[in-house]
Amino acid sequence: MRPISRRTVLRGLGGTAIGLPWLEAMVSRRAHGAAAAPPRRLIMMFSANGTLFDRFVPATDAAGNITAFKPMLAPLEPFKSKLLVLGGVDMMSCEKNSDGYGGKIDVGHGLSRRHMLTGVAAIEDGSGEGLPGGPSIDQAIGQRLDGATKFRSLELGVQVVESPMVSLAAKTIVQPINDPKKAFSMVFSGVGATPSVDPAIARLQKRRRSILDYVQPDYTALRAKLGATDAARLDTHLASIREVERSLSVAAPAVSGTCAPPDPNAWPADKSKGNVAGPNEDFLPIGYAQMDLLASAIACDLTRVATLQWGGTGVYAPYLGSTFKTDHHTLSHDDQSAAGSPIEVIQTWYAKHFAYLLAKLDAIPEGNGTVLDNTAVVWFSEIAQGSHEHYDMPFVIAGKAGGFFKTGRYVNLNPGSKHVVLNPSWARRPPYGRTHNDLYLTFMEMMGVPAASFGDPQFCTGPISLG
Amino acid sequence: MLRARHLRLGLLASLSLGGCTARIGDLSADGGGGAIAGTAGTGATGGPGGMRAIEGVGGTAAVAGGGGAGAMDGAAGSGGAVASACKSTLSLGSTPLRRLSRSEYTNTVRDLFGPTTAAPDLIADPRALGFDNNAAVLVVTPAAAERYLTVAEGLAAAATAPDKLGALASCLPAVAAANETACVRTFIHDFGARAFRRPLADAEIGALAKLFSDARGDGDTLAQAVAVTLTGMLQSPHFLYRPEVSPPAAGQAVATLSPFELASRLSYLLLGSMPDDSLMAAAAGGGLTDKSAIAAQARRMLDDPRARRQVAAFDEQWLDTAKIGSLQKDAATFPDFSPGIAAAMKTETDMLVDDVVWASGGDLMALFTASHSFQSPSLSAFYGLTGATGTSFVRVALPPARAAGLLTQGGVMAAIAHAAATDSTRRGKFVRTQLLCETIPPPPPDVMAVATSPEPNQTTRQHAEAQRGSGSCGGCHQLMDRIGFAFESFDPVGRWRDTDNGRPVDTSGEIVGTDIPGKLDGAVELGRKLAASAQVRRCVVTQWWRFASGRVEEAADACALEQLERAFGASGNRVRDLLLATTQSDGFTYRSVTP
Repeated sequence: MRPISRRTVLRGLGGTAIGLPWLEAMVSRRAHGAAAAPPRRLIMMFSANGTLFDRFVPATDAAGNITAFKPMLAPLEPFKSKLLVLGGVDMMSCEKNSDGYGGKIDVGHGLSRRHMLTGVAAIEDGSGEGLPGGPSIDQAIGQRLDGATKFRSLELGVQVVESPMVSLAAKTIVQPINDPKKAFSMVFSGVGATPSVDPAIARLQKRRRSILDYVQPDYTALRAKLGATDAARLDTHLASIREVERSLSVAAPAVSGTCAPPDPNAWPADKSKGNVAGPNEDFLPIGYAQMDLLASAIACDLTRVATLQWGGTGVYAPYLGSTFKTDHHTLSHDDQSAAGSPIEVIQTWYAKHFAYLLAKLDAIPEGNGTVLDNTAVVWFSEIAQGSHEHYDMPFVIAGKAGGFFKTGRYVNLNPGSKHVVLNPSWARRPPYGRTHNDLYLTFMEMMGVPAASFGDPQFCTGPISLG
Repeated sequence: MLRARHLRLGLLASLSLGGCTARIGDLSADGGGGAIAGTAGTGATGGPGGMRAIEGVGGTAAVAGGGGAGAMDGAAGSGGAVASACKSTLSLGSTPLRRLSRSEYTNTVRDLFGPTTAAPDLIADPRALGFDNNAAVLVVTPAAAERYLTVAEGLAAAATAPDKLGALASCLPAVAAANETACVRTFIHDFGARAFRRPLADAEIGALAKLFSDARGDGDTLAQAVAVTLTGMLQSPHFLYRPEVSPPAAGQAVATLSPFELASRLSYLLLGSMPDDSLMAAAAGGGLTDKSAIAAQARRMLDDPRARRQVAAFDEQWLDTAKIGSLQKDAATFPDFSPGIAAAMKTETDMLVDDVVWASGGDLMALFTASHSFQSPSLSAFYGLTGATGTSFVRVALPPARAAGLLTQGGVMAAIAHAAATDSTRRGKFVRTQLLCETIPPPPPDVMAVATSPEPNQTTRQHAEAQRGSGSCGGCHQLMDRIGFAFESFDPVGRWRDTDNGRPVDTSGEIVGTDIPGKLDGAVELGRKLAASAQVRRCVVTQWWRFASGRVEEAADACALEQLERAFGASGNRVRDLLLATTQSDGFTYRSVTP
């Protein structure tokens, strides 16, 4: 990562004077708080269409320690001791609701996406996709953190032109930022080489404050004239304005040995328009730009919660550099029995790039270890395998989150299950493992915001002990 | 007269096939089968009308309304013994608060600041039902709020450049210090009324004047302080949303829109942007009070080039054609398919749809039968045709046996295909969902079969049939595949083909269910059937209703949809008349008051 000049950052991309920074004092919080333990973070990375258990579940010794990877996780070999691979996590809220929509929601991938981060039934809206039934786990955590960072969360996407997965609250979909340059101008505004105060920036910040102060009463007054549904949407907007205002009051960190903004000049701009994804050849470069940005944002403590969504189900496959001539979703329904089958190739491809993100985080020293050691980077998918079932959701957790997780292990939370055969007739098989709601309660505890339930309370029994 | 063979809108009709149920319509209504039928359509274009009961979401109220069906339905008031969704009371569906969609925002700031305004770089909006203006999902997240601020700062900076200031208010350049306050209030009063699409209250002018004077007090130049004021206006809910808040009469569940609210509703429907000066003047002058005045404004606006842009925006989302321009295909199989060809195909399809919609007859059903297109020489050459000459796109005649309007457009065929193979399932699904407004259920859990590789010398169709032609998959797949097979003479890049993998293509198929059931052979026959289908016409009306209302249709919409379908049919399926009829529908001047 090549640090860029403060002037470049301040001027924003394209040399314009807009989109400028919000800082008053460029003093790193963590410079002051050096003695405190490093914060924990949660990064969740999505790739679509599930896995293949027979090439995903690692070999272990009797104690569950990973001894060898199967092909799909082989690129993660350098991080073997820092990984926690889970079996037996079941998306029961989705199984429960699969039959409940009278065919109006795509119970394959669409409904799965709605349940994946929320753990609660989708709300039928006639669109076929349904609306999220509650906040996604990243938002639920970000909203409860103490607001120490400029951003409660970051939502980044790679050509996400349909079916974004994050939600602020019920019915409130968050479109991730697909353009890394746009994300850069927002996230790194004000991150400078020196902790001095630029009067022009302070002036701009004050202007923004007065504009936001001016406009808030209009929202409050209009809200009072609306019905409940419209009022709720306006409340969301007002809360977002207040979040922008809050962000203004948090000083941007200064560039330091660990905090260095990435260089956006080499990044491709996202060319997606509307529901049309940009060209295939941009898919990976944009993914890398987003991962560079994400790693820097974490290292600079600009946020502690982030999601990275790689496309949707129908991402076109030639970006993989393979010979596949159709899209990821179609390939997921192909014959996977042979070694080198499409999903094996694709998941191995994602594992390789997941490893890139891990390597970036692991290269930044922090405390007695690295940033990765204080983070949980979670790789997940919205279904288990191509047959659309929701048992044994493929979760890979990298990083021990400051010692919260005991890594180097494969933990099967449902030892009675046999889940290595692709796609026989999938009997719904008791005994069940643990729900993904419980896993998210675990994440909440890890992040210091424990809760008794998340999503549908019916599927919450408490955090899972993974330490 | 339409008879009972048509599925009545509002009745949840279903057909069952091998365990697969395709659903038609999402509306539930009271019982009674039968046909779409006319009620006592008056054919009136306004006039005083009598007192008529209108049901809002929360109840029923008696209001002065028009005389029943819309303006265009005189010829179709067929009456009859069959049930209609229309009752003596008019039901009004929900009227959600509409936020400007990204494209509406773009159109609006170009009308506010001038046509050369750079495209604002907002965060993309989620879509629902294929449309980008669904009110339920247009929420504002923190990142989106940050973009609103940043984008507005950019717009305001550009609009307050020295050579632009006079366009905001003529007094602003070179204003004397003593006149500054008055000049700025004039600017806020005049420009604010354009930004908020209604006159500002004194308190609103005062709040913006304070924003300006605070900025001046902090040392901003006049232009900087005007920019701060503009940025504030552009953050307001009165700019970013289209609030409809005029109060109802006591105890009423519906409220009459104010003239300015009505002007915005009209303008965003027909032009996708803010009301123009003429419409604002009509609203201010009390000239939008009856249906005939609304119709006159609507006709004027439909002649505006921006109406064509708006209809094109709808068509692109309805028919999902945006993706054509950036299609990528397998280079080894189709080395001559290039980004340039993809872009040309997009232009071709846009021009054909535009031509069908706005041609003198304007029968939208020609979308499925037209045997002409618009091609450049390079695109004609790609198709192996010799139609186009010169350097630009010209109208070309296509071989009638190979042309079914939109359906056989190269771009459409290529967009609904894999990179190196056709996809009959998705081609058939497109017909079912977009043109017939049916919902195909996804494969149920636990029955996903593993695909096999094609045998040597198998056609794509033969492989598909072997794979999913029967058994647990066949029930649903035949609903789609057997329509999609009609397109097998169009290859994955949209070119005509007689053979596939060395064997003759088989384009025989069948439509199961719908109002046009039966066997068919080829896209041309499919197109003829679709063009004759009342279900397709109803679907067009439903799709427009979703786009116009910013929401999915509701049970309370059944009567309005029925009347619009009748008006559309009576006009010879003209989109222009459908839009006009929408502005004349009884609910158009009201909003539902919800708790």
